[in-house]
Amino acid sequence: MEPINNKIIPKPIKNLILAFSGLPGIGPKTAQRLTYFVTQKSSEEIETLSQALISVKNHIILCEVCFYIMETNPEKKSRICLICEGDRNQNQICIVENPLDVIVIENSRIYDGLYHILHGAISPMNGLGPNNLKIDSLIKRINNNIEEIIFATNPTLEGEATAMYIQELISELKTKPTITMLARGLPTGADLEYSDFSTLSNAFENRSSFNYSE
Amino acid sequence: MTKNYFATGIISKSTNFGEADSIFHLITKEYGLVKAVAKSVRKPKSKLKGHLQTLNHVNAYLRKGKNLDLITQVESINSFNSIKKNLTFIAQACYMTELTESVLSEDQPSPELFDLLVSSLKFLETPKNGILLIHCFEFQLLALSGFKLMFLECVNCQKEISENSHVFSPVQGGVICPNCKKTENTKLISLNIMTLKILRNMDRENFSLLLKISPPKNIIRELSRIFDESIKELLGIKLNSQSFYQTIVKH
Repeated sequence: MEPINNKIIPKPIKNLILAFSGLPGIGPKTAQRLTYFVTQKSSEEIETLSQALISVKNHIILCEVCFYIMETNPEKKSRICLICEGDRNQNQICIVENPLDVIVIENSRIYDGLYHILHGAISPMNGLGPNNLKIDSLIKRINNNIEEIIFATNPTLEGEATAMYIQELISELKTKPTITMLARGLPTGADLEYSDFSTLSNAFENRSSFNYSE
Repeated sequence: MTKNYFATGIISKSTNFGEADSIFHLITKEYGLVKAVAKSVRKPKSKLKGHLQTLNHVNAYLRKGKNLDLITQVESINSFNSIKKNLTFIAQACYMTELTESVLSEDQPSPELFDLLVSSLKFLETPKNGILLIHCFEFQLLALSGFKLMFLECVNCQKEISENSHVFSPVQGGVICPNCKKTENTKLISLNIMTLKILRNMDRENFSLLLKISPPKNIIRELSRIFDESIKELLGIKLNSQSFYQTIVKH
């Protein structure tokens, strides 16, 4: 028997709560709050929201080279993103787990090479293996022009396992670019008192010299 | 369990939750499997972040919640850094950890299973840990879960096994003698004499001896098949980490 309070909730409201609940990190209470928010907004605002949602599914694709997200362009046949096409250092590839990582690195304005987005990391206990990631296409991209591969995967067990797996595949290639990894250690603003052993261990291993001023 | 409680455990899994939180699975000595949330752990300045990495052995302070418990403080006992620098060890450690989690329930402690996992992970850190570590672990885990495999006697007639052509039955959970083989209907795996000797040493708990030897590849394959089939039949589980482990081992 349905609980009594469900009978008084109109079907469109129930359907929308269910739809919001399917989103990651959105529980039933948050889904209810979002649904109530939608009922308060004007039709035009909700129309804009629904068009934006549909547009993402219809007009966003992955670059066929680096797998970054890009907008479809009916005038262009190739699916190559602005980063791959742009005036950038063609000799470096920075490997990241997600498209959001590219945005963060680009905002720092510290890197001007190419990217390769894996769309995840090897997570054995969650059933994510090498076949679930864009690894094969990365290996195919590595040619004599590529001088450096920079691993910018997350400093987690999954990120490190992914980096190690790909490094082993690269070591079997005829061309052997330099392989580097983003520095590990204490993050800016960290409190040494609360640091864990792994972070401290990396910080000591990767410590840098002090240059005396003349 | 009081509202605030302490547990020592291994982090087996984490899932992102909300904007900056994560839900962690802990295999604990005191309470079996515990699922708890750590607030804002994905933010850069989180004090818990570094301690709550997968495979870390931690002391955790938790508070009982309505749905999920809350991790309030945590400190690392062992990060198993040597395991995390080697892809094969990572695959083996993830397999052993997931297998342990799969036989545990929430609020049902199994200190022996926890101690088995911790000692196996510590052994994996040693330079020459032996290829048989995983199978010794599987054998002991099955025994602690109530499914001790039998290799010293025929699992059907209980007569002592002698050196002969024997087969293994994953369904029965032991070796079948040539006599009982004639009437056995379940799937059978033929056993090489060397494989049987290794399995008999497991039954006699000669683990320190077994961890020093490196059997040939065909024996390893036979042992892998025996334990894969036994785990499938007796525990009825399929592990996510198994295919990655097999990929790395083959490579």
